[in-house]
Amino acid sequence: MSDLPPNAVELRAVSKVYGASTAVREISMEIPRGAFVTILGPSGCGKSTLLRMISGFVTPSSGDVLIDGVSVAGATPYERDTAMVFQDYALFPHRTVAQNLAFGLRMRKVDKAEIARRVEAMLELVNLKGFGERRVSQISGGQAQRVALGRALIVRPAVLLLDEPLGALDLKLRKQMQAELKTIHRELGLTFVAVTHDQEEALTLSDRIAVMNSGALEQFDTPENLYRRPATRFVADFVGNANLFDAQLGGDGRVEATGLPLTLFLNPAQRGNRPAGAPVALVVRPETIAVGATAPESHDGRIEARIEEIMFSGAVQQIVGRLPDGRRITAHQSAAVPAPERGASAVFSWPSQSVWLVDA
Amino acid sequence: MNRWSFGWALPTYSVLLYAFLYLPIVVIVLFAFDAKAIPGLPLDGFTTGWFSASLGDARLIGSLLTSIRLALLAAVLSTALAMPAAMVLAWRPVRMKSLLLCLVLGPVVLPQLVLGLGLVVLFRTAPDLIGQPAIVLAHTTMTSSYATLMLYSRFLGFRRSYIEAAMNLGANEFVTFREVVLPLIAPALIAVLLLAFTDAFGEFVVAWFLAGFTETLPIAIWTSLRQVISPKIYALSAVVILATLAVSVSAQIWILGQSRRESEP
Repeated sequence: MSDLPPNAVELRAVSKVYGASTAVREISMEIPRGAFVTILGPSGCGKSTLLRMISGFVTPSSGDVLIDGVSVAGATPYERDTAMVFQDYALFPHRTVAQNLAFGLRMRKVDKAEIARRVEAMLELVNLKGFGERRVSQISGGQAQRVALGRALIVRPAVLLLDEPLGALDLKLRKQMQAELKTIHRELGLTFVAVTHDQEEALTLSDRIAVMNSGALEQFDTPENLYRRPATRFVADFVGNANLFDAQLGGDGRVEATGLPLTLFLNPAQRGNRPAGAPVALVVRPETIAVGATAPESHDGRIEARIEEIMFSGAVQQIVGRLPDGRRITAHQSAAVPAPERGASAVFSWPSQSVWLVDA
Repeated sequence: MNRWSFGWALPTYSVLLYAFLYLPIVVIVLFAFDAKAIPGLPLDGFTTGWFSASLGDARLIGSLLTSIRLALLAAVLSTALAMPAAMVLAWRPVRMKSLLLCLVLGPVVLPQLVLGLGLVVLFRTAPDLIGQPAIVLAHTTMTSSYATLMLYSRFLGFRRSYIEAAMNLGANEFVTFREVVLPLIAPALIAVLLLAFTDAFGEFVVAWFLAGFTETLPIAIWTSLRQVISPKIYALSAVVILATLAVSVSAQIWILGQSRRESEP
């Protein structure tokens, strides 16, 4: 283990161009060994193409891919130490569950007794003990998902690739599988790279998230940093809910929202090294906003809005207000706090240190 | 609902339809068991003698064996030709694909008479091939065209992720083909083989043009038609028909079973 480089996968300025359109634009990324990394983005952003470049099904137009520190440019999929969980699982229908699990080991010429032992152990790991002799047409969607996962895990790849692994499951099963995936990742200590368009899934599962938008990497960071310190307007909007206000930076840390009676004073860490007069956008997370007849003392960001909608969802109520310029502002507030009446005017307020700035 | 239910209409229609389709075959089987030497109504008496007589007719049995051998060759050849062609057409970016597909269909839509005449002229350049080789080549051409189309649609419906999954797990192209592609398309291959075989087995027009001194079963039957048809022919035909039916029915059942197995969630 010690002689292996710290990064399981390294992407060096990889691009993929199809005719006139660029699917992936100069992406560089280092995926540490043992990490759970998720590539997150809307459909068509190039995230699947990126995953397929690691697995070898797509050849980069330029740039290089390294697995365990070695360039795999020109290596076929079967020469790479990756294993993939496919979106449609792609379980071989003419083989049993156990035969599906054994496939990768058989290809690696592992001897029969060892294969039998590892298949049995894998059936146990993915909670399918006793299902080995079933045909894959005789198992449920959730079970098929586990077989697909087991079939990839059993070869102990340098990197496990998951293409929308939970996309086909219903909500409850998805939640359960998320927890299982996380446990399996921790127990085996393998490197996982998943692709998803579900930001909640990405936040729950990963150590690090790469947010992609139209072929480019917007930010590669921890879930917390993505949420609290988004690098771009796209990330702020795509990861979690956000109220975005266009604004202009003043000289002394003053930020004035465009077209709204809203002025804030931000500290240097929040401002970054942006020059005075730079066009920016204020990111205000809904859960930092309090709604009431008056604003608490510590909340120096405040604006008046007419309550338009109150949606109750268990622990949290979502309050939507209409601002003077016609746009909406959303707050998430504990359902224990009494909400103002619909149609009434209320003050939406938040502490300025909870605000984040992105370039407009 | 009740007013419109013609409960009797559909069964009657079905019976008539199948009677229309199978009556000629029934007639053949019927005359195979009739004692009269010159077939015709009314039936005369029951005998199984014609069966042993036809088995004893060396010329007739010879032509049957020739037909089986040539049709088997043509079926295997055309399937072997059609499979790679279908794979390329279905899986590779091919320029002018629709034009190619139309051209593949050519031998099917061409009248057999035209094809036969053309091949006669063509084989003048290679007169040594006239006879069995020419018949096999001609039948291969004819059957490989729809064999390609049938396999093309099978490969179009083939999930590419099976192939990717195999390669991803360490199987090279050859092993992927052997372990994943071949087992999954086997039912389609067998269907195509059977269809090509029966088509080549019964084909008369083109074979007649290219036969030389070769006598296939259809040619033997045609030749004997010009005299009086012996009930021996009916007996042999009955055997062939029943064998074909048995094979195709069991093949259908097997293929249905296979495709049920493959259609998973």
